[in-house]
Parts: sequence; C-alpha cells; structure tokens
Amino acid sequence: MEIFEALGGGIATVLTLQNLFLLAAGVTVGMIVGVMPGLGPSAGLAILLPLTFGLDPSGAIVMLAAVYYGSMYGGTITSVLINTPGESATVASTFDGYPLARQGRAGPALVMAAIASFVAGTVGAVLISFFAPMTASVAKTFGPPELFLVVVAGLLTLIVIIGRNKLLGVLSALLGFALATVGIDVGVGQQRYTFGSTELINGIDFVPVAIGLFGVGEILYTLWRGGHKESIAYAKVTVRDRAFWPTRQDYRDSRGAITRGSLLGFFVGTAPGAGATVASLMSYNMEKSVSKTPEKFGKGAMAGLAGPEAANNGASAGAMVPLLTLGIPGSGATAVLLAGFLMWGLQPGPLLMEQNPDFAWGLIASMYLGNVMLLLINIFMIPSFASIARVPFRLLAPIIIVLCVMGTFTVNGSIIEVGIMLACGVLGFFMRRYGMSPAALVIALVLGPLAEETLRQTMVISGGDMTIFLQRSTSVWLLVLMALLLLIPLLGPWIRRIVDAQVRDLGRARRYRERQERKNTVTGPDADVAAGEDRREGHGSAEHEKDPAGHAGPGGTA
Amino acid sequence: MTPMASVDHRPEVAPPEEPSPPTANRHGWSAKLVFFVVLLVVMAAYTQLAFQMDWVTKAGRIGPGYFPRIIGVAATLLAAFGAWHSWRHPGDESDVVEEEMGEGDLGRHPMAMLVMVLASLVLLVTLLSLGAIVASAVFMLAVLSYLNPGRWVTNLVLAVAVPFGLYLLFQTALNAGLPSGILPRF
Repeated sequence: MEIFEALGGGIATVLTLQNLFLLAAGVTVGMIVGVMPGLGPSAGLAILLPLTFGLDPSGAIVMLAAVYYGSMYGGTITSVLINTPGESATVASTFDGYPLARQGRAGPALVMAAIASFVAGTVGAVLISFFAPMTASVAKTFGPPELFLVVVAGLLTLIVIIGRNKLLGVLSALLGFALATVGIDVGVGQQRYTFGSTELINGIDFVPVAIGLFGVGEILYTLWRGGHKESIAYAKVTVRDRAFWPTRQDYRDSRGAITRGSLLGFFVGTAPGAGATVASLMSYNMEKSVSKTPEKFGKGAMAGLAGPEAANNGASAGAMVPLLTLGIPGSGATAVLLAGFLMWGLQPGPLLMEQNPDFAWGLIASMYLGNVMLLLINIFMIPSFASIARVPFRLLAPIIIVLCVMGTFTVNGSIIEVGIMLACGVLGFFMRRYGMSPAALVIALVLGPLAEETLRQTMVISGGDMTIFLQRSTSVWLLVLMALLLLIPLLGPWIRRIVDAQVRDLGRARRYRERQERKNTVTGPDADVAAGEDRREGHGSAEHEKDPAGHAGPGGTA
Repeated sequence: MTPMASVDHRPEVAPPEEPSPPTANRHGWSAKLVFFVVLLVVMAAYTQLAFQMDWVTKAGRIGPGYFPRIIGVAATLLAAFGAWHSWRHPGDESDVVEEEMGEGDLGRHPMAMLVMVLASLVLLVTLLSLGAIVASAVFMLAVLSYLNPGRWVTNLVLAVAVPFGLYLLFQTALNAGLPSGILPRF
C-alpha cells in the first residue's frame, strides 16, 4: 500500500502542465536525436543536458528521463527504415525490422515496435515500483566497504559483458578514473594534475567529456567511415495508408514475444553493465528458438522485431533500479543521466527514496506517463521522424558539432571546457576505432570519486586493514558475485550452449504439440491433406532443426 | 547480401588469424600503434606525477597519490600491452565489429574527419572573439563547402539559420550565456 501511496504522490508531482509539456518535449527531442545517424541515447542525453539548465530540478529530471526513452526508440526508426541502428541496443531490431520495411511493411513494423516499447516500458515502470524500494532497503544496510565493492562490481560487469576486448575495456575505465583524479584531493586538500589552472581545481566536469566522447566522437567516426557519402535508400511510411497499421496476425505473432522480451529485458537490465544490447540480442535468440516458424526469422518475422524492441526498452527501465538505489549507472546513457541528477543536487543511492521521495517517485511516475506519451507521439509522428532520418549526414554533422560546442560552453561559460570536449571527441573517435569503450570511461569518470571516497572511508574504519572486505558478510557476498562475474567469460559459451539447447527443445516440443493437436482435430478427407501438410512442415522443420548450430543467430554475438 | 546473412555470419570473436607467409613483415608501425604509444606516454607521465604525491598521509591514512599510483601503473601496463599487441599485429587495424555499418562499406575517409577536426579547432579559437553566431556560421560554411560542395544556397542558409536558431534557443530562451563577440547581444 505504501508503494501505491508513494507512486500516487509521484504522479501528482509530475502531473503539472509544465511537466507534461517537458515530458512531451523530451520524448520528441530525444526521438529526433535518436534518429540522427550515429547518435544514440548517450549522445542524445549528453548533448541535450544543457537544454535543461533553465528548468527547475523536477522538470529537468523529467525531461532528461523522457529524452532517454525517446532516443532509445529513435534508434529503432533508423534500424527499420535504413538498416542503420543509432546504437548497439537496436542492432537486433534491424534483423527483422529492415526486411519488413523492404517488403513494404515499414508502417506495421514501426507501430509494432512502438507498442512493444510501450508495453515493455510500462511493465518496467511497474516492476521498478516494487523492486526499487526493495533494493533500496537492502542497500541501506551497505557501509563504505560494500559501496566500494558495488562500484567495482558495476564496472566489472560492464567490462566483462559489453567489452569485446576485456583489457581495452579495463584500460578505458582506468582512463576515466585517471580523469576523475584531476582537481583537489578531498582527503588532504592537495591539488592533483591541475598544472596551476584555476579552471581545473574543481576537476574535469563530466558534461564536456560525455558530449565529446559520445557526440563529437560519434560524428568523427561516422565521417571517417563515409557517412557523408551515404545515399540513403529508405522506405516510405504514411499514416493515411491502410497498410500502415499492423494486422491481427501481427498482433498474435508479437504478443508472446513482447511479454517475454519485457520481462527478460527488465531483469537483464537491472544487472549493472548488462544493459539493453545484451537483452535485445538474448530476446531475439529466444524468440527464434521458441518460434513455430523459426525459418521466417531474418526475413521479416514480426516477433523478431517485437521481442528485441520490448527487451531493449525493458532493459532501459531495469537499468533505473541500480541507478536509483545504488547510484551505479549500468550504461553510458544512465551515466549521463546520473550526471544530470548530480548536477541538480540529487545523489542517487540507497537513501534517495527516503530523503527525496518526491523526486524518486516523480521520476518513476514520469516513466508511466512518458511511455503513454511515447506511444502517442510515436504512432502519429512516425512519418515526421522518418523524414528526419532522411536528412543526409553531411548536413547533420556540422549542425551537431555546433550544438555540442554551444551546449558545452553554456555549462560553465568556459572555453577550456569546450577544448576538453573537442579533445575528448578525438579521443572518442580513436577509442571507437580501436575497440576501446567510451561508455566504460564515462562510467568510471562518474564513479571514480565515489570509489575513492568509499575506499578512503573503508580504510579509516579498518585502520588500513584490507581484510575488512572479508570480515563483513555482505562484502563477502559481493566478492563472490565479483568472482562469478570474472568467471562469466570462461563459462559463458558453456552456459549459452545449455540455455540454447533448452530453449530449442522447448520450441521443438511446442511445434510438435501443435502438429499433434492439428492432427487430432482434422478428420475425414481433410486428414490426408493435413497429413500431407504436416509431412511437408515436419520435413521443413526437421531440416531447420538440423541446422540450428549453423544458425545460432545473432544472439551468439552477445 | 541480406541483412540477416550479414548478421548470422558475423563471427562471435575475431576469427583465428591466418599464419603470415614467412616473407611477410610481421611487425611495423600503424595508426593503432601510434595511438597506443601516445596513450602510453601520457599514462607514464601521469604515473610519474603520481609518484611525487604521498601514498599515505602522516596520520597513516590514504594519501593523494594512493589512487593515482594504482591507476597510473595499471593503465601504463595496459597501454604498453596495447602498443606491443599493435606492434606484433600491424595489420590488425579493424578489430571492431562494425555493427552500425548498415549494408554498404563506404570505405575510409580520414580527410573528411581531419577537415572536421581542424574546422572545430578554428571554431574553438574564434568562439570568444567572433562570438557564437559568427564563429559557428564560418565553421558551418567551411565544413558544408567540403561535405556538400556545389550547393551554395543550402549551405549558406544552413550556415546562417542554424547558429542563429541555436543562439536564440540557448541565449535568448534559456539565458544560458553564449559569447556575443562582434555582434550586439540580444
């Protein structure tokens, strides 16, 4: 009951005309940035962060959360229409989304993706309402040693799960930690790496680094790979066309996929670092395995689009749990969101829900309303967003750079920060180019001061004795968790094989059951026809089922 | 190639490298090596400065150099490993799975990237003196002339309208404070 009261209070906080307008504006602007080639939620949030400067804290946070959701969906539009995902979380949406667009079904694909996002976002918001207070109550018992271990575990998850090259992932995180050490040391007040500059005494601001790495870095990378030379072949979509809307069969095909994707996405998303990419790829693989018609996947199966779409939005909601309750961002985008919260004087963590209930529940409430807004804006403005996706990158690139420069300057009115932003842009390009992780750098930059502070407090408590981590039961559990995380890369292929086999068997059993049921219901002369069909289908499916090893699907890349 | 085909056949990890012919030059300089060497030098300097700070304070608590030393030593070692790896495998430039590539590979365009970086530097240098509108307009005109050649009207309209619109948004609407430079503030 307490939860519903708190949620009611949150909804009341958000339900002002100004906040509703900001919610709509955030979703729209987020989607506009999301459809721009090369720009995902991280870049969108970083670039648009300065736009919230003139707002009150609750309005700013509501808008930022809306931008986050909007930009997540924006990537889907480009995935479906031009086979170019804005960021890795929507890669799985291209597998069946683009083939659908090529068949002239771009409208149904985008509408179904919007519905999947809406359902997953709403399911996620409901689950957050229950899980966030639960996690916060556990996290309240954490002392500095546990918080330090949670920070390290969060970074480890990110590096282990997302990074293709683990060592370069660690190096990226270390660069972030190094940048976080610039400024005054909070312990003794000594200046570190300021080189006499007064502008660096307060440290390197997070915003220019995030804008540089995610915004400018992506633009440079897209230019380098010839984005300005791209002639976009796109599918036309119009709301007036009857073919714009999904058919009943589409809804039937997607129902299960959306439900599974929403739940899978949320729980995968709650693990710091796992995030939307892993969730969407897992969902695609799962849908393909349990489908009655797995051979349609990759050729325009609606379930192959709806499942991953639901999963990536579910994961965005799930990622809010560690962010709000532990103050640990699980991805680049949530790191920028965290920086936005900090900028507004709100420290996410175990005490947030107690000390700032209006804010915490207001944010959760804004997710409910944001999802409704997203659905409405999505469906009726899909053609408009599609037309933004058609603006050539050669025109967008300089516009985005000017936006980044002006946005950075407005943070503190500092030209040095603009220089830092551009330098980080070049660094971001090379990091992308050589397989390093800008997201790990940004998260480490945000978490660096927290890690240093909590370790310092831990050492004060223990008198410099590192065995304190082994003397507290919660710390020991966290250490076990970290050890498991480190074992994931070793056990991953083995676990994946077992899970794949289980899911495949489930799919086979389902198809077999269905055939048997059909056999039993068909009688008389039709039975021969049905049997013939069955033999053909059985043959096709057997052929397919011989194949799955070769068709492990993109989930294998996760 | 269908999108699915491009996806399904994407290797989970980099495929095992083909053994080089005995005559091939196995080691050498590459852009990747230069990047890691620069990173190595920067992190080595960071570490050297970290060792000039105290590891622990006189009271026996963590000193200002505690974290920087750990970070510096680890990052230097990893950057050295990256440099060594790039030296050993100079051809291994594109080990990033290019999942955002879409359907076509449009080649590499370092010149376009360089033009953008140089123009951005000019924008940085002139932002305060010329002001946000004029410096951005010059930047946009220069970059668009290179990326979108021959379309002067479009380029000119964008170069004027975008900086003006952004100035109105940030300065006039949000009162965020942009340099006015040679134009009067509005």
